Amino acid sequence: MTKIDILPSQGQLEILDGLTRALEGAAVGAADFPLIASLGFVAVSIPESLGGLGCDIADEALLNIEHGRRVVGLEVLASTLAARLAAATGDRDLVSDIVAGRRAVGFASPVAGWDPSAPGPSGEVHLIGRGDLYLAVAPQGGAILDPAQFSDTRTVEGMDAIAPTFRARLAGSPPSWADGDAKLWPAAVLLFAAQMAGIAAAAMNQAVEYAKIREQFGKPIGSFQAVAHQCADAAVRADAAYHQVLIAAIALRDHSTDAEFQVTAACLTAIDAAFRNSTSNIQVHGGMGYAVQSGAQLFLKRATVLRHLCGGVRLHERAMLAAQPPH
Amino acid sequence: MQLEFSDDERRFRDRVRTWVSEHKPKEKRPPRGPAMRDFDLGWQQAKHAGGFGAVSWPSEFGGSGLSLVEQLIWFEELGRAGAPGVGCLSTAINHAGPTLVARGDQDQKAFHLPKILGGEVVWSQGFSEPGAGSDLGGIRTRADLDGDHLVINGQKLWTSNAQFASYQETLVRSEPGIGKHKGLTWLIVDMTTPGIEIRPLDTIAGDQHFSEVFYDNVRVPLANVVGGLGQGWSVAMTTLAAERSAAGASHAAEVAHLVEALIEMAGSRFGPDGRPLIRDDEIAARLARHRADAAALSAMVYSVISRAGRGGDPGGQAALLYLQFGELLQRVRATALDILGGEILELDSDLEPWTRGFLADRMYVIAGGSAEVRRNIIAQQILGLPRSY
Repeated sequence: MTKIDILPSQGQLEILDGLTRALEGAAVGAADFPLIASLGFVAVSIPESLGGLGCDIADEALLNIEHGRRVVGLEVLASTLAARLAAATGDRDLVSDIVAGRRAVGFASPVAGWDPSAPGPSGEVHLIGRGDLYLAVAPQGGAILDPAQFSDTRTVEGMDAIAPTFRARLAGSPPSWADGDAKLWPAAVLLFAAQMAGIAAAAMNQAVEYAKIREQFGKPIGSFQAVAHQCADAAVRADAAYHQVLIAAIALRDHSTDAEFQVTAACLTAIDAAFRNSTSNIQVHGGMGYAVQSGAQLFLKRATVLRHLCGGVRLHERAMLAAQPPH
Repeated sequence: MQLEFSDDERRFRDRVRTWVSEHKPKEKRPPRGPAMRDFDLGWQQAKHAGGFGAVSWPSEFGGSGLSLVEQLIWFEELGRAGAPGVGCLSTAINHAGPTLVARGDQDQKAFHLPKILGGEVVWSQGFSEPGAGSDLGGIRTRADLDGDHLVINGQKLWTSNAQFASYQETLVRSEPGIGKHKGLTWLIVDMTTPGIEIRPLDTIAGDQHFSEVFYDNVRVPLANVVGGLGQGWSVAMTTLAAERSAAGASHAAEVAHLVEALIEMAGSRFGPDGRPLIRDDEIAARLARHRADAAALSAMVYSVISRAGRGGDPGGQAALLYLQFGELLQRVRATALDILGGEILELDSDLEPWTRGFLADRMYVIAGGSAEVRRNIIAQQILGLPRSY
């Protein structure tokens, strides 16, 4: 019996359906961390013994595709990754607080890259999201930072349309990079890719639906090839990113020898799809895309934030060439 | 979400890998002429002898009877080994054969399928015309009933390898004036029939891949009609569906092989600063992206196979895949220009697959539905957008 079926299983579709039904009617960008946590969809891959659902990383990736589509609070992903790190490093209290939604985690991102010679995160950072704690993540692992470790914290006007953004300096002696057996970085890259693949699909869908109803020159604008072909290209990019995320999720879950190759390919494909689909969505919307009320901005801004948080294009291009191809 | 090859499939991969390394042609494929035809026929004969004559055909018609996963493995291994494709037998193996399997009668199957499998014959495709390219419904070549024959008059264009073909799958208008896609008939035409004139066209790749074919009162027996008079459009769509689904796995494997070969080449060729080209940031970045895009193309193939395994229709997926393949191939070919350096100036060197291949592969955003037509199909049939102009 062959086991080549990369698509979500019946059980996985039911989990996704549960999320969809719970969030029915919620506008894009409206579902925040407290809501998602109250529904039980944060850190689902935490073992049941630690209060999680005991799902695997592939289930988590599928959920994050949906989270990306809905531009849910960024704290959902940061908290999911922080719980993974906390579970691997023995901080059971933090795990249960995150899973129960009692504590939220945001992202701490270096303004000019982490100092590679430092044992942990240091220097100027951006804090993104409404966090009780902030997660720094890098190829060498992660570090969970307490707000007491920041000085000169000030609010800035952030790129993200939803998450509050701050600028601060890491003072004192922040924790060193840690990983335990979390394999935090590949998991983070996969879930960033999953969210960007979701954005790519949602931005494409929004453009397509608008092209069907918006009329100019007496016709729906989707009957002009200049518009229809942009939508078709977006569909190809969304499809490529989605399926590469599935392949990468399977490879990471199954500890395949090509896991790094597939996860990196997923990230590069999803970065490209999210950026280009969210810009072409704005273009198809024309002036309405430039105005906030269409909501098209939500996808581009979140795609831009995730593109940076995942380590950026150049880092993954280098990793892609260094990785071991399949077979 | 499962991607685990069974023990049998692993053994099959090992067997294919060994077979391909032992039997793939040692010499370079000639780019044109009878030598090219003989090369392609010889490779087909070797595959047939090895039990791989037509991996996508059911075994009752002499095919290998492989599962979709085994077909995928076959194409992945051919790609990995850089083995040649079916070349000028593409119409016979990928279009005409599968159409006869699906829609031909017993006599047609019994006569033609063994010849195709055994590497005895080349087929050509007589679909496109001067006024019917991307818009295939514009076919005007006429077929008039005369007793137990159809009499063909008109002209075809872009007929692949017509000069080598023993037979042609020909789409003709047998009942004019009842609609674009109605009144068409799918015919087997023996290319030695009197009244056929073939004029090969020179292409940008320096070959004569395509021809114009003229028909002057060409008499074709009614026994050569496939699928019934007037059923040509539905029979032709069978062909195109076969073309797209069988080609997907093969295309993804080919482009992955090109990218890996290019990465290797960039390690041993030098840029203007004297460093290996793989150390050039721009080249490295492009190669990294090609690698990621080729991986995603392969993921789309696995999606098609997964959908088919669930009994679904992978048609829409195949359209997305074919557009992605064509466009990615052009990007890879363009990167190769910067890695080949001066070698690009010579078409028939040892690097011919790269130099002539660069020119020849422009075909993949034109043939089998141009990239623009593919976008129209995606927009209308998958996204539900209105017909666009």
